[in-house]
Amino acid sequence: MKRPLAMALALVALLPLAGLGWMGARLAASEQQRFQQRVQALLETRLNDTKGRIQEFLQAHERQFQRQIQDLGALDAPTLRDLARNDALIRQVFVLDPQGRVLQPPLDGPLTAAETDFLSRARDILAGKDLLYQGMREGASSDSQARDDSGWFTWYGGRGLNIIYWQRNASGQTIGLEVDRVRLLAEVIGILPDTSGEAADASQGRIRLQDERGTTLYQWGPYEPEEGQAPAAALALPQPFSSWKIACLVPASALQAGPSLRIQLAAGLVAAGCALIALVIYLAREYSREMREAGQRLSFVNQVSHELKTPLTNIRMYAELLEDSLQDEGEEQRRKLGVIVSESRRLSRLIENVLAFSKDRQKRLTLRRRQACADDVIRSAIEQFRPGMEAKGIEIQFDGEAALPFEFDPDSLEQILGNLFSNVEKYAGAGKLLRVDSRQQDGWTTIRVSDRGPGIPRGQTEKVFSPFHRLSDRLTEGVAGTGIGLTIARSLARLHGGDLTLLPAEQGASFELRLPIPRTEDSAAP
Amino acid sequence: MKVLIAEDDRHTLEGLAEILAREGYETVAARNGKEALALFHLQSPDFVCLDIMMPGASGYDVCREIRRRDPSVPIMFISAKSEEIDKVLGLELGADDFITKPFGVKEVVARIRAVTRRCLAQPKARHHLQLTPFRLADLEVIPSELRARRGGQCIELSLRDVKILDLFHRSKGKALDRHTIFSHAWGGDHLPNSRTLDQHISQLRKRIEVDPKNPRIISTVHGVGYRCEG
Repeated sequence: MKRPLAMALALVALLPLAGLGWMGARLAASEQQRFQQRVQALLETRLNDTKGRIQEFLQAHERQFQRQIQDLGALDAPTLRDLARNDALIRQVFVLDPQGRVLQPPLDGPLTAAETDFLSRARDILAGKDLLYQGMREGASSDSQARDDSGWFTWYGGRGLNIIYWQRNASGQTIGLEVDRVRLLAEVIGILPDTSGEAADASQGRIRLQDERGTTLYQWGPYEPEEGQAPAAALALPQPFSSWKIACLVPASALQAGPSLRIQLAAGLVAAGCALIALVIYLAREYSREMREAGQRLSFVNQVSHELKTPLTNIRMYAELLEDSLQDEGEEQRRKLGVIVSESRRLSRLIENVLAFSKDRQKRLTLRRRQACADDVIRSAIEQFRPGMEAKGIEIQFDGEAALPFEFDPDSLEQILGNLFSNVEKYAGAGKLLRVDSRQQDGWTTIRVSDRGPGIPRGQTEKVFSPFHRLSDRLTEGVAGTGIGLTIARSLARLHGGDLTLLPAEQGASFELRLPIPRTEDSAAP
Repeated sequence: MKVLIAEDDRHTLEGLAEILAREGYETVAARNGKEALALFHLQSPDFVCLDIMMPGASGYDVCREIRRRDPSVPIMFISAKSEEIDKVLGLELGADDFITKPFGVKEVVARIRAVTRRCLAQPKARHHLQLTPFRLADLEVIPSELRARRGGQCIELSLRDVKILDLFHRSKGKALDRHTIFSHAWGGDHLPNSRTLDQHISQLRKRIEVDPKNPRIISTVHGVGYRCEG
């Protein structure tokens, strides 16, 4: 197989493979992204569930705190101290007047140790009344669950997060409950799953409850994350733990699409690649087989054509010898012999055309140039056709002005003229005229062959030179031919450096053959 | 002149022999390469026509062997092989011409005459022709060119034509009987056939006479033969 064809076939196989590989990689990346998004969504759903449970738990406490505040009778120190004493979750109770001044615990009265401690811790908060008030409003506005007259308030101080639940009564007083952070956290943890967990599947991951510094307060789930591993998903908790978060950590493998997709993609690619390679091999083999068969057909045609030559030589030679011997015989015998001679010459031309066409296809058509006179060749060709033309009543007119010998292949010129004359004989007999004009000027020998037949339609002026092209059935009906005569004629003309063209004609067809006259040393000399 | 023809196809061989004989050559026929080489040694032909594809030794082999022994004898290939390389190989081996089948009689005759001219131009040619130009009335015969001239007109002649005209030139004014003409132009082993001779003279007159119906060069001597008035 020829190298360019092999390269083209390799490209045919490789380009789609590369395209498939690229698309496969894109598909895999896209699938991986979609898979991660799905896992992320799943993890966020799990975190939202947990957050929801915590939120419900805190809302229950809110409602409880509201009831406890509403159930308070007088807002005096003993009542408030009883509330703090009886509820382990409540560390301290305080009351502010509408201006933010501390009413309880009584700043002027005796204070318990716990009250003193609270006032100490909350000094800044309480001293900056606006801050407390503002904080409450901010807290109320920042928490969608909170109402304007109640809510959570948190601040950092002392041992960390301080939590206050507050409520404003009808007289504008603010009653605040300091919640025990540790106890509240313990209760929150109480509603979360056990650390040991039920699921043994590590892909379920681990959920961590983390404070504002990222310290893990509680965690559950079977997966043991590596040190410093970033969470796959995280969610802030509702008030009062809004600075805390729950984070979910999962194994890296859980975020990967898994080998099955890659295997499927790879298998698909391999299958497509195999199919492509098989297709290319099939095409290459088909091409090679067709080329081989074409070569064999060409070789067969060559062989047969050569084999035809010897019997044809004998038919033609003996017919011509007999023609010479029967000079004085009757006209009828001479006419019959003339048919044998002209038909054997026609067969010779056909064989020469087939062989020339075969060589032309294989780029092996060559010339045998020698000094000769174009008019002599034209006369010889005309004489060969004269009996056939006369039999059809076609008059031959020859105006020869190409007597200057020059170097060309006389056999090829005879073959070109033979094909042109043969066409006139076959297709243009009705015109009753074959006109041949030859001229020599400006370094060119020009031979024009014209007839008065039906001519060639305008759209066919170039197509007639294509191999196996035949004009419409109207013209060629019942006329035999191979359809390669003009192809060969043009190839031979162009091999000389000239050309064979169809000239526009009002009537009939007119072909012009141009052959260059090579510059000889004599003519080139100044 | 003697021509050796080597051709394995019997009909082609006989046809070529007839064409050459009509032209006035003596022919020696070989059906294969080995026979051709043997006959070349025995008969010493003046030139050789060779087919390429023959049993035994191919035409190329025969050509190579002949050239080894005789560098000057003209050799012409007549073959169905028409590839450029076949022709190049044949000419490279020392052949003088190459005719491809199928050929016409006129083409073979023209090529043979061309080779004969080259053959006659060689100083050591083995022929017995009078090569000096001579005149018959207003016709100038140039035997070495197988041509005759009248004014500016050039007339192609066969070897046999030259032999006949040579005989008439040597016997100007004398009536020559048919047997003498036959012996000289056809060779001694040919049986006289008055019709063959008369046809040939008739054809020759058409070419060399100004008015073939009133011949001035070759006139008929009734009951005897022909005479050249010179």
